[in-house]
Parts: sequence; C-alpha cells; structure tokens
Amino acid sequence: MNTIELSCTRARFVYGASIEFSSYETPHNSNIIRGLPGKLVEIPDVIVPQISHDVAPFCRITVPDYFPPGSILIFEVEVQNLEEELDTFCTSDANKAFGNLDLVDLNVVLYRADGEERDATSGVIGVYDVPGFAKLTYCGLEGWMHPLRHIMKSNDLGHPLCENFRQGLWALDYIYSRLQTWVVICLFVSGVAHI
Amino acid sequence: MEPYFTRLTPPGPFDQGKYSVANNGWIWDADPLQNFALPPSKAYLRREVIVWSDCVKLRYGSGPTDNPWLWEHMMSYVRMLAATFDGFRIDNCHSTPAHVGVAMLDAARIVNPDLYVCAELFTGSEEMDLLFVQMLGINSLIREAGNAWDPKEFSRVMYRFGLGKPLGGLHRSLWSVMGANVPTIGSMDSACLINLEELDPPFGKGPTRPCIVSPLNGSVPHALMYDLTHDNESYLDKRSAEHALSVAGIVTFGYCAVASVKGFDDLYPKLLNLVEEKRQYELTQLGENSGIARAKRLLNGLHREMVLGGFEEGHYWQEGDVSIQFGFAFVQVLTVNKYILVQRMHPTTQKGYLLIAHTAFSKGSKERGIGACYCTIYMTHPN
Repeated sequence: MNTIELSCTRARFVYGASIEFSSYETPHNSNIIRGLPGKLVEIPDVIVPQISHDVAPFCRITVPDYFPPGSILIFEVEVQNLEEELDTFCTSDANKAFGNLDLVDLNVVLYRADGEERDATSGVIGVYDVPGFAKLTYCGLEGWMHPLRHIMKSNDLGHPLCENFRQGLWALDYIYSRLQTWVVICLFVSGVAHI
Repeated sequence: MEPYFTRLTPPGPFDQGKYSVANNGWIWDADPLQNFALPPSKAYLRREVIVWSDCVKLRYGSGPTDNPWLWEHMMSYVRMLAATFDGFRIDNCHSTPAHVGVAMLDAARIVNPDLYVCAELFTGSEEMDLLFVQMLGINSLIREAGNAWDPKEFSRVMYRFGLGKPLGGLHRSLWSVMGANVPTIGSMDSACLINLEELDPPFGKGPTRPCIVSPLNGSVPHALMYDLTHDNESYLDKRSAEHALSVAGIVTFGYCAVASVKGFDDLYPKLLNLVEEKRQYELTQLGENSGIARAKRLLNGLHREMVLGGFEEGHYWQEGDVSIQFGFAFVQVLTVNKYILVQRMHPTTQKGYLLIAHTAFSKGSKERGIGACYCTIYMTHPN
C-alpha cells in the first residue's frame, strides 16, 4: 500500500508511531513484572496534499517509507464543501412544491407504471432500471421508496441502488428529466406552447 | 492432571466424603441452563468437565431456603463488593445458575443502582446470549480482539461489535426524530419509516388517540472490546510483539466500550498466572519501559472524544501489502491484506478520524509494502 485517496475530504496528520524491540527475551526480575524493551518510534508529520479534480477534489495520503508491521497513523479528517443546510433544504417547502398539484399531477409525481408512462411519452420514458437489482415498479417517487424503505431499515448500503447512487447522478437526472417532460407536455396540452 | 475434587481438611477427625467438594470447570457445547453438577448430568462421571482445580462449585439449590447460610454469606459478599466498586465483571457467566446470578445482581443493585455489569458469556448461540443479557441486565458483553487471526477476521469482529453505524448510513438515530421537536420530523430517512396510527385507549375505554409509530431495529448487546484479556496469551506468543500497537489503534477506534490489561500496555511477553503470581507491576508512567503507553494514552483520549461526541459512523476496510514469490519459471507478486483502515465520522458535522494500522499477525518482515497492485509476471523458461 502506497497511497490512500479520500474524495471531498481534507486530512491533517495527528499522530503516527511504530515500535522497535531490542530483545524478545522475558526480562527476569523476581520482584517486579516488567515488559519487553519496546521503544515507541514516533513518525514525523505526514503532509497531506489537496488535489483538485474534475468531479471532486480529493486528498492523497502517502504512507511514509518507514512504516513496518505494527505501526499506526492517525489523521483528522473532514468532509469538504458540505452543504450544512442540505437536510433542512430537503425537508422544507413541500407545500410550495406540491400544494397546487391535482390528482393527475400527483399520479405523475408519485406513481405511473411502465406502460402508463410510455403511453404518455410516446414510448420515450419507462421505469428506472437499477443495474444488478430490478426495474422499479413505478416511475414516480414511490417507485424509489420501495427499495429505499428496506435500505433505510437495515442500513443496507451494499444494496445495488446505493451503488447506483454512489456511481453517478443518473437517478437524480431521471427524476428531473421525466418531470420536466411532463411540464412540457402540460404546456402543449393547455395551449400555452405550440410545436 | 488437575483433580476433580478439592479435599478440605478441617481440624480434628472428619468424614472425608463429606469434606470433598467438586471443582468447577467448563464443558464443550454445554446447555448453560442446566447445572452439570446435579443429576441427571453425568458430566463428572464421564470426565467431560475441563476442570479448574482452584475453584469449587457451590450448591445453591433452587433458592435461599435450600442453603440459607450459603445464600446469606454470598449475598453479603456481593453487597460489600457493590458498595466498594463501580462495576462487576462476571467471569464465566454462563456457568453460574441464572437464578443465582439474578438474585445476586438484584441485591448488588439495591446497594449500587448504577452498577456497571459486564460479562464473559459463552453460551454457544446469540439467542441464549440475549436471554442471559435480559435476565441479568448485563450492560456489556466481553469481546476479545486477541482471537482474530487475520486482518479480515479482525475487521469482521470490529465491524460486528464496534461499527456504530455504516459510514453515510441512511437510518439515523431515532432521537433525531423523537427528540426536541416532535412531531416536526428532523430527519427525512427516519420520517420515511414511521406510520401514523391510532392508539387504542390504554385502559380499554374512551377514544383512540393519534400516534406516530417508529420501528425500532434492536441491536446486538453492547460490547466491551478487550485488546487483551487476563486469559489471553500474549501477542508475542500468539502473533508478534509488534502487533500490539496496531491492535491498540484498531480497538480504540471502535464505537463500543474498550478494555485492556496493564501487561498489554507494558508489552509483557508472557501470560501471567493470576493465581500464583506474587510480583507487582513496575510503575512505568510514560517514560522508559512504558511500552506503548504514550500511544495508548492518545488513543484512549481519541476514543473518549469519539464515543462521547457521537462519532457513530464507522467504516473498516483492508489494503494490501505485496510479497514476491519466486517459482521455477515465474515471479509472482501477491497482494496480502495487512493494513486495516478505520474511518470514524460524526454524522452531522462530517468530521472525524482516520486510522491506518499496519498489522503484524505473524513475526518477521519489516517491509512496508510497496504498491496496492496484484500482478503476475511470467518469465519464459529458456528451454
């Protein structure tokens, strides 16, 4: 092992040590219990550079040249560019977003099976297919909730859906693009826009 | 061979049969709810008991009326201990009859309601472990890091008993939902799992009431993880002396209680004989001959900060080390996982610590390991 890279993370060296023995013989003393002559060798500061990258910046920890078996390194780490208000943002303004939707709109946002969706979009959009898992039952948000409830309950971060979230933004793009398509369809139907 | 019976020798003439008492011990795969010193067990006759010749089995019967002197004697002993100490370690908890354990701990908790009780419990199944934990009200179960034989097993043990929650996990603490602002839902993920239901009237009459039902997942019993116990062989004998420092790091990064013995920090090379050892420990402080104490002090400080500060999200993984094998017609470069990495984070501040530990499960190499690659280089034989 040479280097470790941590995405979106800043790391600062705290402590490092290895241990050396001048002998492995049991020290003989009839009065006291004494341990092996082990010497802690403290490892000097490891500088961790921040490296910029197209997708996300990362830090690269390089393990020092002298790091024999039985050594440790400790770093203080911090996730960078974390949006502190993210949780609040996600749970706010539900009324503003959903308050004016009628039942048909809600059906689009929450449900719609594969055939229904294809019928409405000339076959362009269907249910989301999670690699290594299955096609979701619904195109709408409730389609995601079925596997997500299971994942949240058991904290199953090894689930294929989590892997899909980690690998890219396809899920979010899908949700956004199909709602965007619906908005455009509504505009045509209501006569606001014309081809 | 260790004797099955201890012969007591009271002054004056006595009946030897009456003053022979059975030694305690343990049995492979025993049912912890059965007393193996009573019929119908034939464990002593079949010599199935692996005996400890330094302790004897006491005959408690089914309650204090069966042996009033013994019960009162042991009760007062337990009360005295509870008044003196903050916590008990119940050794060999599975072979103490459960009704005795319950009565003794009840008596102890009257004296010291905050008594911390940890137990060494080998019942053979998780269900039976749980039963004992529930009956006795055990706070933590003892787990031994020294039993792990390789980095994968060590990571598994720490993951199982000291993970906390997986890094970036979705199921946040219920407290964030049920905390200050019920019914304002603080955390989206927990909110997704709740149901709004009607609660039946508690006394059978009157209207139902609206309520929020949140699922509780339960958890494994809280762990007390020892880097080394007084029963374990030393790391010098079992793995390597160097291994101790990496174990200290990995254990203290666990989101569980941690425990140790002085001989571990001092790098004492042999298992001490608890019964016969008469010497005292050297007072080492942090100076010369203090073993890994200086590192341990820092690690214990970090552990305290992480556990009390709620750094509940953890992640364990392993990285490779490279060894080169020379064969007849090839050189093979093998990756052997020898590094254990632990990242422990606070779920909301996203701050935490990373530990890189180079383990030393076996004696020998001082190599650092060069690259995390796996490649096989085949060389053609000249003929």
